[in-house]
Amino acid sequence: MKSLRYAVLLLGLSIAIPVVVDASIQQQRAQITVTITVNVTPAPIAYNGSAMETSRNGIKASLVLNAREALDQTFHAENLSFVGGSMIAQATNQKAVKVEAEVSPNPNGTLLTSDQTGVVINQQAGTTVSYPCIYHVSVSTAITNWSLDHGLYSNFIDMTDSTAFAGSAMKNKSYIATPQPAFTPFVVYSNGQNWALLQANSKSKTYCVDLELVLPASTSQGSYSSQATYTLLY
Amino acid sequence: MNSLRGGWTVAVALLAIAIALTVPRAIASSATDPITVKWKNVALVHVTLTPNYAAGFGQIPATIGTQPAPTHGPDASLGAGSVDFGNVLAGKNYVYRYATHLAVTSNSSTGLNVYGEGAADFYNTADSSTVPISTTIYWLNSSASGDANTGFSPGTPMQLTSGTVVGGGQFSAPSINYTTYPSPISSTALANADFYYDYQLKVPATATSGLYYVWIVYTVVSR
Repeated sequence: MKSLRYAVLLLGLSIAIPVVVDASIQQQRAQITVTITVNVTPAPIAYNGSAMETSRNGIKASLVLNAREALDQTFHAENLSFVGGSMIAQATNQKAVKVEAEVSPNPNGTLLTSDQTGVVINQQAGTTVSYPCIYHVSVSTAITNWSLDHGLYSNFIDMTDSTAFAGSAMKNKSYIATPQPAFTPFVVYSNGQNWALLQANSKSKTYCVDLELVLPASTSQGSYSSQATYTLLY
Repeated sequence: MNSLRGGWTVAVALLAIAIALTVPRAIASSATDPITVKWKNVALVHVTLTPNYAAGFGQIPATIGTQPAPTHGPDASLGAGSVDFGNVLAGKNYVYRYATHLAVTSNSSTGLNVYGEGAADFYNTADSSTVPISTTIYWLNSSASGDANTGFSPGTPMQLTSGTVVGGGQFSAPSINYTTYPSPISSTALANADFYYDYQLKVPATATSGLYYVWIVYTVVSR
């Protein structure tokens, strides 16, 4: 009797444990990136005028032109010749390299996709601008219980001089339909943060991704990029 | 009377001689006015481009963590050939390490600007379709050795040139004529410098199958 009891207990455990495990452990099935490039233009130089003189009225300065002023330089006619409009690069300072690739179909290529491989934002330093539905992320599957994680792989880096600004300056709200969530900053993986859960859902879904960039005024002019990364697990 | 007429004749003759001797001198003085000649010295710039410039060159699928060993297509070899990603899948991203090295020597006293652009979009030889180069190929700064770039490293889109493309084809390199230069991808205050670049390839999920190619043209000028 005791041995039968143990056998039933063992059988029950062998059934229950895999079910519990299957429900809690998800594996990465697909991962895509969308490169976000930000072209930063400098903030305008602010004018800080001196305090206004209020003790007197009228024009504070005047300018008188001297009609008899002699030019300190005479001008000579020069023999000028004009070449064609194109500046022809010297043969020795221009070189080319061919880039090639043999593209094949991806059997898992439709599982997780975006309609953009990269997006470009032009923004002035010191401004906050929103970019509605700048790209979509789509999950196409019959699985009824999956999770979609997201984040930026790195901070935004300018390749020409390696200057950077924080990835958390870029916020997103990703939604299927209204009501829309609030903007939240991306996590940045290379800063030691884990990917954040965008949503757990089922079957095929398409997310609209709005971006909002809070660009500090101190950001220097340049072209910065990072990769928004989406990971599907089930 | 005759003596008076003779005197006038001599006077007129002398006057004529005096005028004849004076006028040429006036012409000669105007012919010697100075003419200003100006010219501008253009720095001499010499570029050597080496593809696949270091051992370990080749493409790696975008991977977080330990990187797989690089591979490449048949047209790539150490120090020569093309930047050949070889077999890639639609919808996947790749980095190509040690893709291009520019060695620049010049007599510029103001430094150098490097311009790098695509001569065309990424072209499929199988069905003549194209994919925009600016969303497909990205460039990253690299180094002579110890390249740690991955498919997730931030890259800058390679732009399609707005200059005039001359010549070129699948097996012949084009050149680009500029009336206005784009923004430089690299810049230095030195007369001589080395520039190292990796490429990233982001294959759109909708890309059709086939052999794609594009020429990247580098131009280096004195600042």
